[in-house]
Amino acid sequence: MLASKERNSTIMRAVIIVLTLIFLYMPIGILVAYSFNESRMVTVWTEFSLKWYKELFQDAAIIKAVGISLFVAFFTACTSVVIGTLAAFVLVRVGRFKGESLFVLLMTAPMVLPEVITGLALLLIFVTLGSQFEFFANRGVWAIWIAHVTFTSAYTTVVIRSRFRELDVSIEEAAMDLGAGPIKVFFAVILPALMPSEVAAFLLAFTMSMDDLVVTSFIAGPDATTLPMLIFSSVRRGLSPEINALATIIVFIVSIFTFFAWLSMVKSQKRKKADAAKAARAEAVEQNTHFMAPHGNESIDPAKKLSDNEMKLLMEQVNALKEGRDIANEVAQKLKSLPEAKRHVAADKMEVSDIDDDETNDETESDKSNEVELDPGVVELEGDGQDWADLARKARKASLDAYRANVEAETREKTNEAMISALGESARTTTAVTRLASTDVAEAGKAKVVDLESKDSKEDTVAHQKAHQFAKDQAQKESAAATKEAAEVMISSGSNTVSSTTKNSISTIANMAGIGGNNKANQAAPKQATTTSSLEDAKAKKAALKSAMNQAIEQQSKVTDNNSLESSSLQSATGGQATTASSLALKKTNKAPSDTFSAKDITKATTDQAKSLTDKAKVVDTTKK
Amino acid sequence: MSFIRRAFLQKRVKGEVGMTNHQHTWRDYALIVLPYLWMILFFLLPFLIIFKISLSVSEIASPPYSPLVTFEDGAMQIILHLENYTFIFTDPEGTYIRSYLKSIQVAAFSTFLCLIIGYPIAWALATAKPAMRNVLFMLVIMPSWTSFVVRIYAWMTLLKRDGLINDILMAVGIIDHPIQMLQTDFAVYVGIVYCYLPYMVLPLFSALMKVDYSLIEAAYDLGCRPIKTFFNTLIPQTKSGILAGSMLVFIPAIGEYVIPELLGGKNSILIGRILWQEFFNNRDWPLASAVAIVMLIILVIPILIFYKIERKEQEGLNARK
Repeated sequence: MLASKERNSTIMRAVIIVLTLIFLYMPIGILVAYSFNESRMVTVWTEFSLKWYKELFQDAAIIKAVGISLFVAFFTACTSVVIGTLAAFVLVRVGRFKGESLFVLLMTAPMVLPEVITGLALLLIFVTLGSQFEFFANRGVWAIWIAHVTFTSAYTTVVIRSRFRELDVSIEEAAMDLGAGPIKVFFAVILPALMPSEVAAFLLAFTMSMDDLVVTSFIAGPDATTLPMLIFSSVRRGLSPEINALATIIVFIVSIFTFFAWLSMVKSQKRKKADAAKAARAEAVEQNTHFMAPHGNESIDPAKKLSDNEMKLLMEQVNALKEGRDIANEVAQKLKSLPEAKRHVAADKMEVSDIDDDETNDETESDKSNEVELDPGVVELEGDGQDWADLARKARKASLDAYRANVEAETREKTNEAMISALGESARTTTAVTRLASTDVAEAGKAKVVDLESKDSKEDTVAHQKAHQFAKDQAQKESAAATKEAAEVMISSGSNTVSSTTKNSISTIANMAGIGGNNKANQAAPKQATTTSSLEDAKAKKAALKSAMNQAIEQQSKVTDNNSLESSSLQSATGGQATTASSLALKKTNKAPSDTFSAKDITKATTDQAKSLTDKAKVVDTTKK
Repeated sequence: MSFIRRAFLQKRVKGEVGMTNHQHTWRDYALIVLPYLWMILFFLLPFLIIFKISLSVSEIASPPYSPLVTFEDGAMQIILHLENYTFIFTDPEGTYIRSYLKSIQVAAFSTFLCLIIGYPIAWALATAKPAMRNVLFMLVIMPSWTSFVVRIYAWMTLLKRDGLINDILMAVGIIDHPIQMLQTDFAVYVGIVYCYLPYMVLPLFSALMKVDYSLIEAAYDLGCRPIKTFFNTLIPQTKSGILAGSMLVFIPAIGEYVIPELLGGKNSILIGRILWQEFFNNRDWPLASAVAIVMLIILVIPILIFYKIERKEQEGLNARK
C-alpha cells in the first residue's frame, strides 16, 4: 500500500517534470532549430544553413547594441554587487536603525513593481535632474547604468543577504580578537565567505541588465540602443530568422553559464557535506579527548600529517582493536550462555554482599575521605601522595600521547573508517560484555566463594527476592564485593593460572596504551602471583590508585609487588583505553579458560565499580589499622 | 569598540528583537548611506516626481508638461491640475477604467494559472532526490536567464496562424483550418505563464522544502483523503510561499507591456500598454504619470503584502540566529 503510494508519487513527479521541461524548452528548441533554416520563413523548414548567423555578424546595428548591452551590464553588475553587499551587511549585521522599514521597502519594491512604473519614474528623475546637471540630460549609457543598478540592487541584496545570514559570527569575532580591524575583517573574513553569493549576484545583475527592455526603453536616448530594444523593434516589425540566430547564441551562452553554475553548486554542496562530516568528526574527537583526559588542555590538530612509521603503528593498533572487538564478541557470546547456570547461585551471594555492605556503612569516615580522593584529577593522597601525583601526571600524559596518535590516525583517509568502526564496535560490544561480566562474573566469583565456604542455608525464595532487590539497588557494591572476594579467593589459592592470566591482561593493557611498560609489568606480575598475603595492603594501594583516576599505563610498571594486580584493573578504568583494554584483556583471559572469570572480574568489575571498590579497600585498610 | 562587534553583541544580548538605534555610530551610517541614498534618489524621489507631474498638464515644450510652480509678477503660483485623474475616470470611452479592470483580470487569472501549474512543479522539485533536484532546479530556472523578448518571440513563432501548433493540430486532424491564437487573450496568458512561472515556482519551492512531510503521512494514517490532506496540511504550511509567489506574478503582470504588445490583440489593452502609448505615442507625460499613480494605488495592497512577507522572512531568519 505504502510502496504503491510511493511509486505513484514517483511516477507523478516524473510526469510533471517531463511536461514542465517540454513546456519550458519546446519554444526555445524550435527557435534554435529554425535559426539553421535556409528560408526566410521562420515556420517553414527548407534546408540547413548558417546564413543567418553570417548576416547577424555583419549587422553593424546588432554588434553595436551588443557592445552597449555588455558594457552597461558589466558596470551595472559591479555596482549592484557593491550596493547589494552594503545593503545586506546593513540588514543582517547592523540591526535596526532609523528608517530601516523604509530601507527594506525601497529594497523590496523594485522586485515587484511593474517595469513601466519603474521606467517612467526613472525617466522623470533624469529629466528633472537633467535640467540642473548636464550629466543626466544626455541619457546615454550612464543613465541606463543608473537605472539598471537601481532595480538590480534589490535582487543582489536578496541573494547576498541570504548567504550573509549563514556566516559564522564567531569567525569574525576571532579575527577581531586577534587584532584585525573591521575593514580587515570584512575583506579577509566576510568577503571570501560571501564570494559564491557575490558571484551569483553579479551574474544575476548582469543577466537582468542584459535582458531589460521596458526600463531601458524609457530611459535610453536615441544613441543608446541596447540589444533587447533592438530585438523588440525588429520583432515588432515581423519575424526574422536573424533573431533566431541571435536567440540561439544567447541560449548557448546562457546554457554554458548555467552548466558552470550548476557545477559550482554541486561542488559547494559536496564541500558543505564534507565540512559537516569534518565538523562532526572533530566534535567526536573533542569529546573523546575530554573523556580521555578531563583536564588535558593540549589541543589536537586533526589535520596534522603522520609519518609512514606512525601510520604503520596506528594501522597495527587499529588491527589490534579489531581483533579485540572480535574476541570481545566471542566472549560476549560465551558469557551469554553462562549466566543461566549460575543464576540460582546468585541467591547465595546475598550473604556475602550484605556483610560487606554493613561493613562499608560502618565506616563513614573512610567513605568521606574516599569521596575526596575520587574527585578526578585532584591528586591528594596521603603517604606517598607525591609519587602518585607524579605518576598520575605521567600516566595522563602517556595516555594523551597514545590517544593523540589515535586521533591523528583518525584523520587519515585510510584508517578513518576502520578506526571509527572498530572503536565504535568494540566500545559497543565491550560495554555489553562489561555489563554481562560485571554481573555474571561477580556471580561466578561469589559462587566460588560460596562453594569454598559452603555453609549458606538461606531459603531460596527469600534469597532470590533479596538478590533481585540487591541487584537493583546496589549493583555497584555487589559486584565490587564480588570482585574483592574473587580476588581474595584467587590470591589465597595462589594458583599459577591466575598469575598467568593476570600477567597477560596487564601486559595487553600496557600494550594497548602504547607504553613500553610491558616488561616491567611482566616482571611485576609473577611476583604478585606468588604473593598470597597482604591483600589488605593491596586494597589500600588500589584505593589510592583509584582516586587518582587518570593514572594510566606507565604507572603500571612502577607499581611494586601486589599492587600490580589492582593497578592492572585500574588501568582499564583510566579512561579512553578502558574499553579496548578490557576487550583485549578479555581476549587474553579467554585463552586461559580456567580462570577466565576471576581475571575478567578484576578488569571489568573494577572498571565499572571503581568507587565501591575503593570503598571496600578503605574498609579493609581501616580494619587493618 | 568596533561597530561590527557591537552589532554582534547587540544581536546576542537583545536577540535582534526590539533593538533600538541609538547606539549606532557614524560608521554604521557610512555603510548605509550609499545604498540608502541611491534608492532614495533614484527610486523614492522619482515617485514624488511622478506624482508632481501627474498634477500638471501636457504642453508642447521640453519637458512636455506645465510647470507646477510658476512665478508671475513676483508672486509664486502653484497650479494643481486634477484633470488627468478626472479624465481617467470620466473618459467617455471608458478606455482607462476598462484597461485597469482588464489588467486586474488578466493578472489575477494568470497568477492563478501560475499557481496551479507551478505548485506541482515546485512539489516535484522539492521532493526529488537531492542530486536530481539541483539539475532540475537549474533546468527550470535557465529559460528565465535567456532574453525575455526572445522567449516571447519564440511563442510568436509557435502560436502563429501557420505556426507549429496549428500545423500539428491540423496534421493530427483535430482542426481543419488554423485557429487564431496569436493576438488573443489566450496568447497573453500563455506568455505571462511562460515568463512568470519561475517567479512562482521559486518561493513555492523554498516553502515546500521546509514542509514537515510527516504531517502528511500522519494525515494519511488518520484516514484523511488526499485532497483534504493537501488543503489541511500542505497549503497551510506553504502559505507564505503561495502569497510571495502570487505577488511576484500578480504585481508585475498588472503593468506588463511587452507580452500584450507582442502576443495580444486589439482586445488585450492592458494598462501597461496604455501608459506606454500615452507616454511615447501621445507624449502626454502628465496623463501617463496619473495612470501610473492610479496603478500604484491599485498595487499598494499587494505590494504591502509582499513587503510584509519579506519583513517576516527577514525577522524570522534573524530571530533564528
